Amino acid sequence: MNGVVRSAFGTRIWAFLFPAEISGDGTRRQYRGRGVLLWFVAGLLFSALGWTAGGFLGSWAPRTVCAVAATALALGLLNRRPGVALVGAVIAAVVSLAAVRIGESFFSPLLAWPVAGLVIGVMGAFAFRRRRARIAFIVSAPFLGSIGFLAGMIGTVLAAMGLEDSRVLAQFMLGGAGGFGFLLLAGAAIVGRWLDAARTAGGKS
Amino acid sequence: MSTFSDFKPFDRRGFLRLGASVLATASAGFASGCGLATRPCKSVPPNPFVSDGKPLLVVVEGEDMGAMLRRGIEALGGLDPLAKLGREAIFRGNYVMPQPYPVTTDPDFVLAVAAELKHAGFSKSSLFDCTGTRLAAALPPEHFMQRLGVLDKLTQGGVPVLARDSFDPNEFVFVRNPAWPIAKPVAVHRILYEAPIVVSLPVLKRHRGGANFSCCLKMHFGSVAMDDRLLIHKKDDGGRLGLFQQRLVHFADAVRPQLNVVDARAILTRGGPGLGGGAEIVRGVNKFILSGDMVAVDSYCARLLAQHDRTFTFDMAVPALQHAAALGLGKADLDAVRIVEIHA
Repeated sequence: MNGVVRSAFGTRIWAFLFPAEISGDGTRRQYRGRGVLLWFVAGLLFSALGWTAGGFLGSWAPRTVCAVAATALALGLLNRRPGVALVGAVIAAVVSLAAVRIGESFFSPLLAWPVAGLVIGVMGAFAFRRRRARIAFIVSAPFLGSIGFLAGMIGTVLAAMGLEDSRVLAQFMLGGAGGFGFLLLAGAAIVGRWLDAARTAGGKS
Repeated sequence: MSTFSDFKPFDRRGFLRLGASVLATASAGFASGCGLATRPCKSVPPNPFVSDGKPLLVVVEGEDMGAMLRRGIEALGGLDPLAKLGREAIFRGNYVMPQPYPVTTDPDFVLAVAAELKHAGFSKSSLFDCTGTRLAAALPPEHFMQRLGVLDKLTQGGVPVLARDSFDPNEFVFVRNPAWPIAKPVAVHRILYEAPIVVSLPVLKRHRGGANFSCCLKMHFGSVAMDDRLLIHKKDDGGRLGLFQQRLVHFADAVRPQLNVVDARAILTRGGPGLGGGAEIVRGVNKFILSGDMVAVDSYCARLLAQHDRTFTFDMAVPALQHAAALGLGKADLDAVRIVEIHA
């Protein structure tokens, strides 16, 4: 595949994921790649930093709670709703803590991640204007969060196996947390631009 | 001379400095939050159980567990040298699967050793084990010990059980000895790293795969994070590269117990580390082996196992023993060890 074809192919995927926004006067504006990337990076970093910060408070439960709360916070802040961000972070933290505690005696504390995805999905859905976008985000958020978590975890394990380094392998849950935030906020950005496209990109999605 | 109008808060150099500072701070916070800092292996005092400059190895044969232990400890010269290091001891048992002795350490044996330590003036002895994880509700760290009845028996006997998560990064300390040929650090459990006195209570058994046999050195697979165990199993499971035998020595180096007491009343032969797969229990061996030198103990026990297991020869233990001796963990050559054989 030569460079021109690859570029065209890439552009089509990008256009599918992030349709051109339509501003108030009906004109189409260029894709806002940087704005979208901000969501991806913020999801990854907030969740990973939350996980790391939770390590100062204890083990799996505080780490999970902090990562989930940080992801909810990132989503609210990117939607430019600091109040909702704070409330969302607290609710996500409380629910995920309960899920961890239940998971400790039933199946696994990892249950907290899809549950947290659902809570963040419900909280984040308020930022969408269109019903279809809200429903899509509520339905997809637990799956996106779980898939992101699994992908991040597997990616970290594979990297550790390649590097043969237990310091990297020890961080497989950090990789999972990063993947959770990354895919969840990526989902929010995609849903916002695809199903709620009339909104201003980079603003509330 | 620069003027006020020339001042740029973020010229290239300033930006790079600020960036470097932020990066350094973030890295330090990340390394601290994730427990990534690597430390040297724990510093332990020299083997306190020596005679004429040679490490002492006591072999007690008998039927009565309590009497055997007492006679063995007397022959070692008593536990006073150990008591000088502290008043609390951490026991390391082998609880790799939910199968009774000799696959795992007998709880009655643990209680008998605890009683001897108490008699020597120790205020507390706890059993440490690191199998299982809280990430799986069906496999918590205390699961195997609970199924074996070890948890209840020891708790009721006054020996607290410290069953810890084998995956939790908060629980482990990364250590490295520059002399290791494998440069990567090992995550040893914080409790063992910080304990002034570790008493190792292994069983003697055949171990299919890279290790060939399990005793004082191999049992420290259970002292390190599951990540390290998985990595070496993945890298050299059959032991063909020789890395498995090196790494198990590094795991033992990260712990360095002050006293090793092998319960070889019965041994697991032909298979292992658990029952099944052709493994057979040989009873009536009736020996305890005590020493501060874990390499000497393994050297002796490899010969003992070879006497009872036609699938095992002493040569199969040599690579690990030689590597351990080269790292200064002890004496593999039994001519350099003072062996005391007694009957109780």
